[in-house]
This record gives sequence, C-alpha cells and structure tokens, in this order.
Amino acid sequence: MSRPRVDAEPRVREPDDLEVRFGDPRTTGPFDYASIVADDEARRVSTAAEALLDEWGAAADFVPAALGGRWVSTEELVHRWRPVFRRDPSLGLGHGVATLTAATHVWIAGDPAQQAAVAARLLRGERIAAGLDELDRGDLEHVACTAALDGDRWLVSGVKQVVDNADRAESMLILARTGSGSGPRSHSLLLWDRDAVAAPHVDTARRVLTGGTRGRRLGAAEFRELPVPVGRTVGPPGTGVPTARIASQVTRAVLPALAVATVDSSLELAVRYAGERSLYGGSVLDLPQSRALLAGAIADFLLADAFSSVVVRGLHVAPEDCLVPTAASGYLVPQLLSSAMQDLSVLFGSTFYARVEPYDVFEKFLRDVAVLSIGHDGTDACLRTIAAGLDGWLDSSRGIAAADRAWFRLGAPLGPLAFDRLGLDAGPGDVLGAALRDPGVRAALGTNGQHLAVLDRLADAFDAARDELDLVVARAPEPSTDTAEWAVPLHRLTLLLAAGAFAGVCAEREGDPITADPLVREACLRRVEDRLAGRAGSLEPELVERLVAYAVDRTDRGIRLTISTRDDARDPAPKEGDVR
Amino acid sequence: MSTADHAVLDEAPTVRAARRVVREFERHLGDPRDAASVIPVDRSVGLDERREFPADAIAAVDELGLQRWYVPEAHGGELRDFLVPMLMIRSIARRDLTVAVAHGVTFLGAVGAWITGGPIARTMAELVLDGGPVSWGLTERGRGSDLSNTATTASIGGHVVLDGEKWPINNATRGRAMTVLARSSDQPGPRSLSLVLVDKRRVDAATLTTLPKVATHGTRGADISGLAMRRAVVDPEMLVGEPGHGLETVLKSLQLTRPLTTPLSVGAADHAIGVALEFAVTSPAVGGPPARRPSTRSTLGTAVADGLLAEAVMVAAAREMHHATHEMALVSSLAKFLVPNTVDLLVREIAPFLGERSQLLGVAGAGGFQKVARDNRVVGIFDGNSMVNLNMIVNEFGTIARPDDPVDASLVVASMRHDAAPDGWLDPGRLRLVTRRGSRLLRALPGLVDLLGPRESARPARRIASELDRVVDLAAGAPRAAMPSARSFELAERIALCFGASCAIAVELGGPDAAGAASEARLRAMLDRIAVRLGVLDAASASASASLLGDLALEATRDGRRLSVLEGWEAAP
Amino acid sequence: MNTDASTIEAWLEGRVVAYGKVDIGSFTPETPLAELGLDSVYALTLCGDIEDRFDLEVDPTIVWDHPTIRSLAHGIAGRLAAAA
Ligand SMILES: Cc1cc2nc3c(=O)[nH]c(=O)nc-3n(C[C@H](O)[C@H](O)[C@H](O)COP(=O)(O)OP(=O)(O)OC[C@H]3O[C@@H](n4cnc5c(N)ncnc54)[C@H](O)[C@@H]3O)c2cc1C
Repeated sequence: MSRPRVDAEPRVREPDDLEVRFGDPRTTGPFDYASIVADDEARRVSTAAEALLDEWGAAADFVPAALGGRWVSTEELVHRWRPVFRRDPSLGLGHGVATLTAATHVWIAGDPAQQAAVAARLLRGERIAAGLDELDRGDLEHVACTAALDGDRWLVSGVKQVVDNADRAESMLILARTGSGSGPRSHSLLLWDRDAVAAPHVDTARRVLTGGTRGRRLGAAEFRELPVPVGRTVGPPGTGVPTARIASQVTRAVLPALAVATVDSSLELAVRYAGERSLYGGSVLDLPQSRALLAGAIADFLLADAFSSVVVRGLHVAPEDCLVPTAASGYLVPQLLSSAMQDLSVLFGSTFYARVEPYDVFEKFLRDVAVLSIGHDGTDACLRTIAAGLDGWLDSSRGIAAADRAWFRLGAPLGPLAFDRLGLDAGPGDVLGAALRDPGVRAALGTNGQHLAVLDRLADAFDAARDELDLVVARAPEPSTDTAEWAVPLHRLTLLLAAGAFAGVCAEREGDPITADPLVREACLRRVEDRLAGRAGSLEPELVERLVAYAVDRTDRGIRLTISTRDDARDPAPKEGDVR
Repeated sequence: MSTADHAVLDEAPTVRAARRVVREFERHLGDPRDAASVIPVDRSVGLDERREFPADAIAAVDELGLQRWYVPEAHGGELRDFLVPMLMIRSIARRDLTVAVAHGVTFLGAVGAWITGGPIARTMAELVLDGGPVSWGLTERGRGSDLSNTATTASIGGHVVLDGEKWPINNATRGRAMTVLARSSDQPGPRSLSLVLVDKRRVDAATLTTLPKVATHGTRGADISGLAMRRAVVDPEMLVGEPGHGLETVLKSLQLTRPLTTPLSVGAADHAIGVALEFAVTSPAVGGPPARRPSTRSTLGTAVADGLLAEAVMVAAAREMHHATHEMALVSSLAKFLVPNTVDLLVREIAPFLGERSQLLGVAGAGGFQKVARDNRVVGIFDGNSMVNLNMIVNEFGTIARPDDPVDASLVVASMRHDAAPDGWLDPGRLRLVTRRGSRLLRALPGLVDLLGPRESARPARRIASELDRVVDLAAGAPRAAMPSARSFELAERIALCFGASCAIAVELGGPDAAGAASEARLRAMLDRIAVRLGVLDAASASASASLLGDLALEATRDGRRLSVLEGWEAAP
Repeated sequence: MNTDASTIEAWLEGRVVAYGKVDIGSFTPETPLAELGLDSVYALTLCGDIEDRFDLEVDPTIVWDHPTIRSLAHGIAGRLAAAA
C-alpha cells in the first residue's frame, strides 16, 4: 500500500491565531485537555480561555467590518473560531455562537442606530443573549412570551426556559408575541438591555443543566411586565419570526462548520489511542475492524467538512439561494458528525466510557456533539424549512445546469456578507445538486477512477430524488415533515446535496492531496451511496487503508485532517512521550 | 427484611409463582415519579450528577432479597428460571441503570462457582445470600479484552498467593469479594489461568488495596474502581474450579453472564420509551400534543419496536440458557451484541423527538433521559464489548454454515411459551466453548416464517429469511482469521439481526394471544424495522406498521400500560 | 475406519498443512500446535473437522489439553475408544 502524498509544509500562522494563543491542549497549559475535562465536570468553562478570548476581542468577530468589527468573510470567522471548538464546544457556544446568533438578527433587521449601539456594546466585550424559542413550543410561531403595548413601551411577560448566558449577558434579544392572531406575523423581536431595567421585572437566577456541553451557562429568563422601549423593536412589529428564520440561516451554516473542529480533535485522539492501545500482541489499529470503524468516521467527517464549508461560502456567493442549503447542512452535518463520534466511541470502548487520560476529553466531545443535533433549531426544524421551500426549489433546481464554482473554492477571498440578500424563498439556483452533473466539475475530477462511476450513480439518484419529491409535493398540498413520505426523501436529498458539495470541493482543490486522491473521493461518495441505501456497510479494504493512512500520517505530523483548512496546522508536534 | 416482603417472594417454584414474584417486585419498587418510592427518578438524576453511589436504593433491593434469585436452588437460593431474576433486574434498570448494574454484578461474579460446582459453590452461595456484593475480576489496566494476557499471578501451593491489579471493576471497592482470574502457570497456553474467590474478610487486609473510583460516562454513581493484591494469601479451597481451568470457566461463565446483562438494556429502553411516550401524551405544546402529529406516531412506533425486539431477544436468550445450553456460546454473543446495540440506536433516534428535553436535567421533569442515554452505553462495553461479541459470531461462521440439522420450529416456539418454564437450573456440563450447529433459533427462521402463515408479518419475515440465507452463504466462504475482516464483522451483525427476527417470531408465537391483532402489530413492526436495518426494506415502507404500533403504545400510555412481548405474562393470575 | 493413534496423527498432519500456515516437513508431531499457526480460531475449525471425520463431538479444550499433534491424536483415540 503506497503512502499518501505528503502535503506542503504548513504556512506560518497569523499572530492572532487562537490556536497559538491557546497552545497545544495535549501539553500542560492554562487551556489544556486536563483542565477542560475538569472544568466540564465542574460545569464551568475555562476562565483562562475566556480571558484570552476577551483579550483577543472575540466579540468583534461578530460585528460586521462596516460597523467597526472584524466580520467580513464568514468562512474566515469559522476558521478563527475552530480552535475554540477543537477544545471546548461549551465555550464556543456560550462565548461565541450565542452572541453571534442574537447579533445577526440586528444586522439583518435593526435600524442604523440599533446596529451602531449593538456594535458598540459588542466591541466593548459585552454579550447578547438570544431569548427566542421556548421549551416544548416546537416552532417559533408558537412562542408564548407576550409583549403588550403600553404607551411607548412594551411590557414583556413570559419565560424563556433555556438561554445561553441568561444571567450575565448585558443584553437579550427577546422574541415575543405582539399580535393576537396566529401565524408568522404575530411576533416581534425586542432588545432588552440589562442596565436599563432588571429586577423585579426579570428573574434570570435559575441555572439550567444539560448532559452535553456541561460547562455552558444556560439559564431561564422569566419576565414580569418587563418594560422595553418601542424604539428597541428590531425590525417592524410583526416581523420577528421571519427575521429569526432569515437569521437562522447564518447559524445553521456556521454551527455545523464549527462542530467539524470538535470531531477533528476527536479523530486525532482516536488515531493516537488506536496506535497506542495494545491488544492481542499488536495495537487496536492493527485490527481490520478498528480500521474500518475509523475509516467510516473519516469519510463522514470529510463529507461534513466539505458540505458545511461550502454552505458557509454560499452565504456570501449567493445569499438568496441559501435557504435550502443552510437547512440541509443544519440537518445533515450534525448527523454525520454524531455518527462519526458514535463509531469512534465504539473504537474507544471502555477507554471512553471509563475516562482514561490522556483520552478523557473524548468522552466530553461525544456528549457535546450530541447536543448540536438537537439544539433549538434542530433537525426537525431544518427539514421543515426544506419542505416549505421545496416547490420553488425543485423548479429552480432543474433550471440550472452548471454550478457557480465560487461556492467550492474553499479559502478564496469573500466580500462582506450581504444580510439584506438573505431571504425566505428557495432562490433561483441549486448549485450543490448541479455539481453532480456539472461538466466543469466532472472534467476537473479527471478521467480515471471508480469515483466517477459513483458520481454518475449519485447524479441519477439526484434526478430520481427530485422526481420522487415532485410526486410528494403534488400529493400533499401542505408541506410537512410529519410523515415518512416527506422525511425519507428529504433525508436523501440532503445526502445528495452533500455529495454535490463534496464533488465541487474536490474539483476545486488542486494541490490538496486528500481531495485529489481518487480513492478518498470514491470512499466519501460511496459513503453517501451506502447511506442512501440505508446500509451501514463498511468501505472496501482499499478505501479503508487509504483513509486511515491519511489520518495516521497527519496525526503523526501534527496537521489537521480537515480539507477546508489546508494550511491550518496545529502546533508543532510535542516531543516524544509528552502526551499531556 | 420485613416478613411481609419475605412472604411475597417465597413462592413455590411454579410459573405462576414466578410471575407473582416479578410482579410483586415491580410493585414494591413503585412509581419512580413518586419521591417516596424505592428508586425515585429525581434522586437518581441527582446522585448521578454528583457521582454518588445509590446506597439507599441498593439497601432497599437487598431488603427485597433479589440476591436470593442469583443463587441456584440446589445451593439454597431461589434460582430456577433465569428469566425471573432477569425481569427483576430489568425492573430496576427501568428506574436507574446504576442501581441495576451495582446489584446485578454479583450475579456475574458468582456464576463461575455455579458452573464448576463443588464446595466453592456453597461458599459462594453463603456469601451471596448474606448480601455480600461479589465482583467479577477479569480485566486489568491496559489489557482490555485479551484475557489470555492476564498478568495477575496466583501461585498455588499450600496457599494461593495473589499478586496483581484488577481494573476497572464494578464494585471493587464496596464489594465483599471478587472472583479473580489469575495466571497460575508460566506455561504458555489457555491452561495457565485459574479462578480464585477473594473474600476480603478472609484475606489479610494489609495485602489488599482498593484503587480510586474512575469517572465514567454514564452510571456515574457506580463504584467502578479496582483492587490491587500484593501477596494476598487465600485459602486453596477458594479456587473456583480446578487450577488451570480458569479460562475455560470464564468463557463458560460469559455464556451466562452476557444474556444476564441484556435486561439492563431492556430496562433502559423501557425508561427512554416511557419518557418519549409520556412527553407525547402530556406535552403542552401549542397546536396540541405531539401525539397528534403523524410523524410522532411512526417515530415512537419505531422506538417501541426496537424496545420490543430487545425484550424478545432477552426472553429468548433466557429460555435458550435452559433449552439450548450447548448453543449459548453463540446465543450469548448474538444477544449481548444485539440488545445494547438496538437500545443505543433507539435512544439516539428518539432524542431529536424530545429535542432539548433529551439533554436537560432538573427542568420541567426532564433528566432521566440524558442519564439513561449515557448509562446504556455501558452494556455494550463491559463483560465483552460489542466488537468482541461480533468476533465470537464470526468465529462461529463455520458452525452456523454447517449443513442443516433440521429444526422443528414448533418445538422452538414451545420452549418460548409464556406458560412454560424450564424444569430447573440448567446443566452446566452442557456448556461448550463452540457450538456444533450454530443456534437452533437461526436454523429455525424459515420454519418460523412458515408458522406465520398468511399473516402480514410473514412478508418482512420472508425477506429477512432470504437475507439470512444469503448472509450464511457468504459467511461460509469468509476466510478464517484471528483478526477477521470488516466485511466479516458486517456479516456477523446481519446474522445477529436475523437472529433477532427469529427471537421476535418465536416469542410472539409462544404468547397467549399469538394469533391476536396486538401480537401481529408488534411482530409486524419489529420485523419491518429489522428489514430496514438490514437494508432489505426502505424506511418509508416500514412507516405504516410503525405508526400503528405507535398508536397502540400511545393508547397504552394513556391507560397506564406498557407494550410488551410478554403481554399477559406478569399480569396473569 | 482406522482410528488408531498413528492414523489419526497422519490425518491431523494433513489438516494442519491444509490450513496453509506451515509446510510439510517443517514440523514434527511433537511441535506445539501453537507454533504451527494453529491459533484459537483454527482450533475451532479443527474441532469441526474432527467431528466430521470421526463423528466425535469435541470442544476446543481438547486442543488445550493436548497441545501437540501426537498428544491430540492420543486424546482423540482415547475418546473414540471410550465412546465405542
Ligand atoms: C464501567 C465499566 C465497568 C466494568 N466492570 C468490569 C468488571 O466488573 N469486571 C471486569 O472484569 N471488567 C470490567 N470492566 C472492563 C471491561 O469489561 C473491559 O474493559 C472490556 O470488556 C474490554 O474491552 P475494552 O473496551 O477495554 O476494549 P479493548 O479490549 O481494550 O479493545 C479496544 C478496542 O478494540 C476493539 N476491539 C477489541 N477486541 C476486538 C475484536 N476482537 N475485534 C475487533 N475489534 C476489537 C474495540 O473497538 C475496542 O473498543 C468494566 C469496564 C467499564 C467501562
């Protein structure tokens, strides 16, 4: 078996790289795996890391450059934050994504004065909490928290049961019912600043605990006629739900791409573990079944990485087309990542269940990744979005033959995100599906290799999936994911979009040895095929060997396995024997 | 122990009595939502969060005398039918898997002595009846599944002198005794290990050190720790079986202990499904409770089908311990792989339905689910992990694929009948390290399908049976290897799923309402689901049977009942 | 069928060679089976072969207790005699 090609030497990193600030988590330091595990057990996040993030001006990442922040390319934002997710998703969610989510609503719908005020607060290092959904409400339209007009202010009453940073965020974005009717036009978004008014109108003292991301500071926020000035309504009254749906496209794109980093760390730990754990006179990595488990996880991981990265770029390249791709990524990527983590946990066996240094952080990552797929904007909500937009999407999907390959050119410069172009229509084009047949993509993938045949079959499967969905739409006037009739073909659709994204990335990643390798391409595309068929089969030995070889080689040399971050090396490998 | 409780559990050895014992046990444990019950869920969640041992619950279970069902009748206990203690362990696991694991492990630690018999069995029986926790000391740090690599030594002379460490071991610290596997000879080969019972009260305490509790993913309160022995001197009469026969005894013990772990997962499934059903029926969600939504019915129905499959496999494995003792080498691995694996899958798939509730604790009644989701993972890891069990199945490919011994499917069904019980304790002399013809349940699948006649469930059953045919052909041709290929593991997994189908059919046909609509609804949904997992049926086609089962489960929940392949078993007079 | 120990021994040698881990002539009847590549998995196969050939039900422990071809042949012969 030939060794895979060796990558170019990693590029020198920029000085503001969090990877450098945090240091190698496997060696002793203020934010090392040992302290992360201990903090998790104690249900807190690292104060050292929070201080580093503050010093780094973390919140500026969530402020558009036009308003004085650092947010230009969302792809770069993701890369800057991945070091956090490689270490502690609790910190990433609490310190990062929570504020990003809330702020995005203001960038989408706020007036210039509101935007300037929020930007100023964030640049001072403040947080905004997102008090949007409510427990057991199923959908934003059913949010029960109310805001009654009282002169020039709203009086907000109700409970948001699960809010990141509820007790310490300086501001909170609240989705409240402001109209009496039902449907999407009866809610508004209100910005409450804690320094304006708090007790006795607000109670945020109750902490809420979770099984995964234990360190997150989740709490309930209970409002009793909390006064919020009418001028703090974000967007016109009644537009709260649509605005939230637009904003969720950004979160649905970003969060999966960040979670990839947690699985990246997990894969590295798994490779080390499998090589080091001795068994039957060899190591765990010598067992063909262990290698197959590892390879399956890698294939899922690479698909998740490609898909989520492409969708993040899509926010910039074609914002109006992003409704379906972001929902598809939000739906499928957490599943792929959870499945990879599940496989790795089987590989770890008792070494994950009974926490054993230096792999103990894997147990935490496993729990953390499980949270990501059930968040308030979980798989169900994503599928509903696709279903709702399906009719229009099917039309536009058939209308396009060639893919705009800017989507796939990972790392290519991107301009600022045009928040005003994000919308709630399916948009005019389906680049991801088109990539499965695009002649340019096809040509770039070469003329030899089994992967081309697999790609052809997937393209056929895509046509078949669209035809099937046509029938489903025709039969049921009301879009719904409530029956298997919808859920099953939609699931298949998202798999095929992921395959298109992966093919597109391969076509654009010349020089990257992993995506250029026909066997890697075949492995990932076959994984999609297997999933389409509902099989949990293992890959062909030849494909297994190739994927494992890359993972082992990269782990040995301290280079990340992500294909989306070619130049993003970890710290130089520690000295021999120094594992912690 | 109060005499009233005692009387309840002291019944004559009949099926009827067995049912009463299980029913009374369940009744004593009470409703876990009630804070005054024996194992209230809120307390369990709290203890788990603090990693505290559930001492009160264990004391209460001791009080109920469950340990007496760990000891065969011949040695002074109550054990006749393995299914009885398994159902009691399930009752505990349904409430708190940590408690079930902590109590049930004594059964595992003791089984070796029941197999070898002799005076050690009496000693073991006294220990267990006395309420002493016995732990099962096989594993050593850094050595995992490879028991032949055991490094703890036992030098056997006038005394047995033990040296070494066992880790991680359930109850190593709080346990009264440990059944220890140790190397008793320098000769290479499988006859160099011996099994020794270390009763901490009969060993110089200075030679024993317990090792610190390990932080675990689930069952956080359990005493998972270790025992270090430094020239610990043990009386030779504490040898479990002949010197040098330790590995053989362990391998035979595992054939019984592996099925004994399945009720842990079945109880976990009861818990997880109970949370989901309860949520579906009572959730205050706007737009009506989720139970009204069609996808809810099929999602729940699928989970219920998985839970029923796990239960059917548990029941069948318990029956086979008595009726096909010589096939337990294979049956134990099939069950030990399939049951926890199916329940893990169920838990993962039902979590999105519960949404944030699947993660929360201490809010709005949530908490049990996130605990049970973690807890159940232990079942696929200890006492032989899933990969080891698949490997055992691969090792049996040759016997599974051997030319058929015809099996009379109706005989198989007869031994699963709910109103039948085994004559008594099994004959350990019939345990074998390898089967001659695989499992009769597997061989009976085509015959079992025929018994279904014109029932709807025969359709998925036929697909599964022809898949088994195909897979067994492939298995016959698979190369024999100490480290089998991933392809072989996949075949083993498929064989296990087909085995699940046999169990489901045989157990349902053995039930009192075998021809009834409820039995058919359960069976159809179980088989459809297996067919989907095998990839021989697409998921959409299985949703009708899942929805129907979901409806039945929701209806049962509203009436305070739970669906079960043993319907009528516990309730019967 | 001839079931004396030396016939069984010759048959066993044939089986061991058939498993393909060693060549004829590279071992003697006294070489430990473990050195002939006869791991626990092949021990299972061997049990099946013994059963097919001699209609004798054996568990892999027979190989544990008779770890060379010669001793195994005696073990089998003994059991056949006992069964007769
Ligand atoms: C909570 C807990 C309680 C425990 N209690 C006890 C106890 O009471 N008594 C006791 O003796 N032990 C106990 N153990 C130890 C446990 O039984 C062993 O750790 C386990 O059986 C060995 O498996 P392993 O996961 O350590 O994996 P290892 O054997 O170290 O294997 C590592 C990995 O290799 C792979 N692998 C292993 N074997 C194979 C194979 N044959 N084919 C393919 N892949 C394979 C698997 O992916 C596995 O995860 C306990 C462990 C835990 C976590």
